[in-house]
Amino acid sequence: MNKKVAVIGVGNTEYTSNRRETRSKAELAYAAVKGALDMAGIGPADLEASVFTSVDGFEGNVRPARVLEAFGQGLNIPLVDVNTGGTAGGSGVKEAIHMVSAGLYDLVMVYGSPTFQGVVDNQQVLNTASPPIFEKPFGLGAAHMGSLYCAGYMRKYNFSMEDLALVSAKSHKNAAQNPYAHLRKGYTLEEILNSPMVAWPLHMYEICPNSSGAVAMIFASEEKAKSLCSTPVWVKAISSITDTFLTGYRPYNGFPQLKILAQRVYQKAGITKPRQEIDVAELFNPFGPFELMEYEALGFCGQGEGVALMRSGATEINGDIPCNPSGGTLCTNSGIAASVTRHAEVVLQLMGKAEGRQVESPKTGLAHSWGGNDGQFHTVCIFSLKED
Amino acid sequence: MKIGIIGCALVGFADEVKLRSDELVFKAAKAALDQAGLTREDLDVSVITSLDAYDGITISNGLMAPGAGGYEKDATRIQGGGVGAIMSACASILSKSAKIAIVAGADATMFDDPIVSNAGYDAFFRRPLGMFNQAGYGLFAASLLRDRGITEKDFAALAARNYRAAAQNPNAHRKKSYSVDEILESPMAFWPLRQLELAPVSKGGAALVLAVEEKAKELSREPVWVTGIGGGSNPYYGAWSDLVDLKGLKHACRKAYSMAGIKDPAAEIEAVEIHNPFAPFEIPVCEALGLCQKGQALDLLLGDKKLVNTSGGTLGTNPPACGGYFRTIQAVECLQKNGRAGRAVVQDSDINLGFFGETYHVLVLEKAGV
Repeated sequence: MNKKVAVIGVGNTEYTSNRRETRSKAELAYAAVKGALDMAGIGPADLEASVFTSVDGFEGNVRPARVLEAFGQGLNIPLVDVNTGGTAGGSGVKEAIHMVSAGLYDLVMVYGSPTFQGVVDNQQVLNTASPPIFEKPFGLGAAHMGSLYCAGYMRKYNFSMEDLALVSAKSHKNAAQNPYAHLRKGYTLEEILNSPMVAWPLHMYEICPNSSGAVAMIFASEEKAKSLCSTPVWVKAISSITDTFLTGYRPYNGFPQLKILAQRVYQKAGITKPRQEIDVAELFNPFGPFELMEYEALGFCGQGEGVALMRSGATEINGDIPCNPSGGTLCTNSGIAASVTRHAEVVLQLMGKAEGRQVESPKTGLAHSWGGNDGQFHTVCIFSLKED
Repeated sequence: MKIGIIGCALVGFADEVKLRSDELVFKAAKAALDQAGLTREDLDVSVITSLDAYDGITISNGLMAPGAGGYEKDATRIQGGGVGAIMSACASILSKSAKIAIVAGADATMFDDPIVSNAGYDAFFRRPLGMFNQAGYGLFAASLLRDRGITEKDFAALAARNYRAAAQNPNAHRKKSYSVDEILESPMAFWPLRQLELAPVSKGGAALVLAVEEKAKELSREPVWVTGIGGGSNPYYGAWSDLVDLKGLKHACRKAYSMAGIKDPAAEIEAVEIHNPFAPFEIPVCEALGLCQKGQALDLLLGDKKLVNTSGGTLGTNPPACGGYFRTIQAVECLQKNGRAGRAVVQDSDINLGFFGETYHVLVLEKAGV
């Protein structure tokens, strides 16, 4: 990184089902942006640039950012529109970090859009992300994408349905304590295993809902961060990785690309022992068992040891490496807002502002996002309270 | 700031192309890397610009990223146009996240321009009214007629000037030169704009390789330098005066000029590439870029007092995603052809989707003397 970058504000709206949403996209944008500006103690006129993240196809209009006015367009500031599928949140955060670190702008906002608000049939939209000649005609939708990975992982290591479902129960338990979670029912292992089978081996409560709600974050240069915020959260490193577009070549029993990316990001952030050095992690888990494969790829445990790590309690809120204390994407999936939220949640944890789901005094956190055609992209970001 | 452009490639442009978008991106990216003497392995980041609605699929960068050298690399996609993608690559390089970046894109798929543009308007007010890009261009042109004393013949003269330049440009899509009379005789499209005063939709691909200063000096004998870049936006529900004043463009311009140290743009800029999907849009853009006083733009343009749109402009070639790359590459070539040191400015926007809520980018390019 060239110049230091810190997060000084996070704004969340409450989350609900996209079918029950009564707030407009403009109201959600206003509420999230105002929340972030208020936490940072600045006004809209202080912003120098905004980054909008979403996936157009789901939104029901082309380039939805253009018709909303919550991003400083009235002040004519630059509005960067980032769309890399599910990782758009991570890519947008990366864009803002690069802009500040490059010295181009000092205060940059990132907005995670309620992508699924207003969508009629998102499986049909998502299907168009698949390679048009070979894979799209199979009718691949989101749940199938998740089930392919989970089924392969289960078979490779001979895990049971219960092994896979336990991690989802952990997310549901955490979400029940999170005022910004959508599904707060706290489904137990038994309830999960008894919920309808959607795409084998995934039951309904192991698959994320369609949520509606928005999130915004404010990124600042060193000087601005120090003058505006008593607990700035510093960015240590961020990067992304890209896989092939055709998905047939993937092993479907883990995330080898995420493993490569994690090594690159750890090196930049000076992390050598992730299990010891990372105090909290928000991992992209639109399908509950993804979290297990992510533990392994991120080096929190060895290959095939994800279930054992989870069963040991290490990834619980009071464990030594708490993962998804918010309940994760499994319980709140407002489209691209969910991938920005992974970063926002880590920041709130480090600031000590994670009401109801606070981990005990974390110093360093990791945020991950996954997306594109059947997980073509990953992003990883490391945040820390330590400036150097 | 100094970032070198060390490789450029264009594939196309034409009414239609036989290649798919990933094939176009691959062809352009490979050619740009070859020109820079690099391979895919040398890249640190790959940036795509595209818009899902133009490509007919969602997350269309997934299709194109591997073609642009993205496999196992850091990558992203910017939806606001080519110069926006160049800004993202510059931010990667300046933040020390990357030393060498590629930006690429393709326009391959047939799409219904009025429907895509209409879907960019809000669902309650302007979309049901039937607003779309070319209808907005007509409104803008009408206000130039009413408020600025510019005539329909001036519009045609500006278009003819662009076509003359495009006819000389092997990279242009429309290569036929039209006279002022021919343009005035073409059917009225969106009053007061005639068919030949509106840009086509061009198909093709483009890529540029950018490098941090020391790498660029090592790899290229004569790199063209990016010395300034800025962005800006206009509000969607803003007043008409905000729109025709191009406040978002002026905002982008201030940033780019201050980075490049430009104090007197009229004197310090030799060449300009303007995004003019309708002929008279060159007028307010020249004024917003500070190339002339208000009211002097026609004189500047028709008197050929500056190298404006020597590529034939957007009237000659208008790839909706790759337009910013096309203009940048044309400006690079314009500087390279000119033996002297020089400075060029590229103006880009997403008004291919229509006015209101549009975004702008300004890029300053420089070449040292030989």
